[in-house]
Amino acid sequence: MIRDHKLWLILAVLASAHLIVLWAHFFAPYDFASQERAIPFAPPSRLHFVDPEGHFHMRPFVYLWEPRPGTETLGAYVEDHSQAFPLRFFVRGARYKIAGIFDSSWHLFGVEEPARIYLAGSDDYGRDQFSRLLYGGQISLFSGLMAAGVSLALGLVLGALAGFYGGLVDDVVMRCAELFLALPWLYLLFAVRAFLPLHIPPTQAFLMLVLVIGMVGWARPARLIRGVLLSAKERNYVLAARGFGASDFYLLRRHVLPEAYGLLLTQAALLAPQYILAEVTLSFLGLGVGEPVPSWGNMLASLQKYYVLTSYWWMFVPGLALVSVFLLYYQLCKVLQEQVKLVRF
Amino acid sequence: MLQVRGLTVRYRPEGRAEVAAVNQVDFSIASGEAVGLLGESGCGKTTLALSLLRLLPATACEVRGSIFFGKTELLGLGESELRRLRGAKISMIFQEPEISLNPVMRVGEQIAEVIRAHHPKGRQQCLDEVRALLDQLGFSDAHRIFNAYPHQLSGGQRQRAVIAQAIVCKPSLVIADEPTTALDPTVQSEILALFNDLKARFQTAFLFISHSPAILAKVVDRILVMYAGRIVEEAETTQILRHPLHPYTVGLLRCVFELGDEGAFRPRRVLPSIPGNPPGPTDLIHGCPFEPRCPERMEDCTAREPREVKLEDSRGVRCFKYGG
Repeated sequence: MIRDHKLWLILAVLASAHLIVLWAHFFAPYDFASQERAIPFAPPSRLHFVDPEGHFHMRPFVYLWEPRPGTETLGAYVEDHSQAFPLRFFVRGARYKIAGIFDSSWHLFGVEEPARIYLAGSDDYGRDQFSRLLYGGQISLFSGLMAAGVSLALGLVLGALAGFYGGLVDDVVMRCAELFLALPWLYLLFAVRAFLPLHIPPTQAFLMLVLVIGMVGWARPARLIRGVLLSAKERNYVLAARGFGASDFYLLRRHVLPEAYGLLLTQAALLAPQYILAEVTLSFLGLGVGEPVPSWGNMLASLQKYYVLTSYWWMFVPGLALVSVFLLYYQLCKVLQEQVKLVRF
Repeated sequence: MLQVRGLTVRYRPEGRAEVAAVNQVDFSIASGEAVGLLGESGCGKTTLALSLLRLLPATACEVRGSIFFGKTELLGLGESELRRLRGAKISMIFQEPEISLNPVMRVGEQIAEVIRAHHPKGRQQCLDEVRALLDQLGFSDAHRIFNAYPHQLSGGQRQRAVIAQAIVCKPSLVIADEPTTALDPTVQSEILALFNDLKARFQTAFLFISHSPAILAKVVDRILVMYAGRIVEEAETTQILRHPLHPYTVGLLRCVFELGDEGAFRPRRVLPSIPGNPPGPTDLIHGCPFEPRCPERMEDCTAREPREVKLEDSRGVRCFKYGG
């Protein structure tokens, strides 16, 4: 049914991004909270293949960063060439639990202590940005996805009720939807967030974000689904099935709602990035998950300081990750929409 | 088995005045009997059929009278009781088979769903029953039909599939709303033969709706002629063809049949029609609704509506010519 390789490619890239983020304990060399206060804002480690004597090594290696002598500026570092630390794969490092049960300490890559490998530099506490990016993705990517799920589920139920039954139900649901659409969502999020305690544990904060973002956004999918159902329920085969003794629930499930599934898919691809951005915005403003747990939003929050913004380019990396994810979702949307059209006509 | 008394259906389209689509209709169908409902487009045939299954759209604001199916009053039933009845006891074949099948479900499965709606049987058992039924319905390649999607079938095959849906639960009454209108003449006669066959085999009663007396003459025992929401004549098929009473019936038959005595087909030299149009649903009717088009109108005709005159058993007419 789906002929486009592009769709599979985009899906594969997106899926692997989500999987890597989900297995952040393994792919990240360090824990998100482990600090190295002596070297804040360390720039990304340079991977060397050639040592000072000019010999070539197959296995890349890194040097220790040490503060540049004679400077007071934060983040002015030079490499200490006296000892090389080769990059190793499948190393033991910080302990973690797989699915909360199995203890493990294997990591995909790492270097020997006291050296540290910073693929994307480190932040003001000397925490590895790359590890934090992966852990932060757990919050940011999945809150977007799950909030989209919540929105679509709510939108599906309410839109189906409104479209299929019409009359008073339709009026009530749609007037509520218009109310929600008329409210500026960001301020609505602030207002809802303001009702909840400021400091809550990370898992609760995550679930709260998902629920708040998801519940605020139900109106748009509900309206679309209602529109599709209004025409879908008038089809002759729906009347025919009713004439053969079908119940409302059966009609919805077998004959009416399937027409909205394509729309649901494109809506999911459209809403997920929007909700990722919503989570990032809330966390950026300090209303999402709190330190030390990272999210792409609170990682970007350090850019609110002017000297960080101007001096340490690697602090933009979460933004770069965000933009790439958004572009992927955008492409997914485009391809899906074409596919849905192909399938329908 | 089916007894309809004084059935009146009124619609209130949004923002417009109320109109009566079916007006004081009385008729009955005995079990195993095939009854035809004859009339022009817009005379209320489909509304009548839909009201028997209580499938009228929400704009139908008033349904009065009584519909007894056996001992059950259909107008008093709740939604869940109706659901148990539809498809199992009374089922309906809708106009245009192309659009009464879901385009994205396999035909066999759609038929099986009707069984599953009424009997707590396993999916496989239902599918087997459908296969057996399709074999009986004279499909040459029942297996292919079973697995096909509706668009892969011809018009006649689709119509058979819809018929299969309607009879798969062996209902005692099948309402067929213009089941042959969209078909070729050859396929049309195949489908009509199938109906005759089903009538004999399943002892099912049929209410056969059509605008063509030629088609009804081939399948039904008795014909009800409908005009402007009223039944204006009712008689055995043979009687009505030989000796139609109501001027409207005479006009309708003259459009189709020509009395030839040499027994050979010949094209009609004059193509008669009934002048004028049937009254629209919003038109006010004074007296007999057919009066403006009637070639035999009398003074009485505009004064009041004619009453039904029972001439003999199963023969009735609403016309002042016969006493009205």
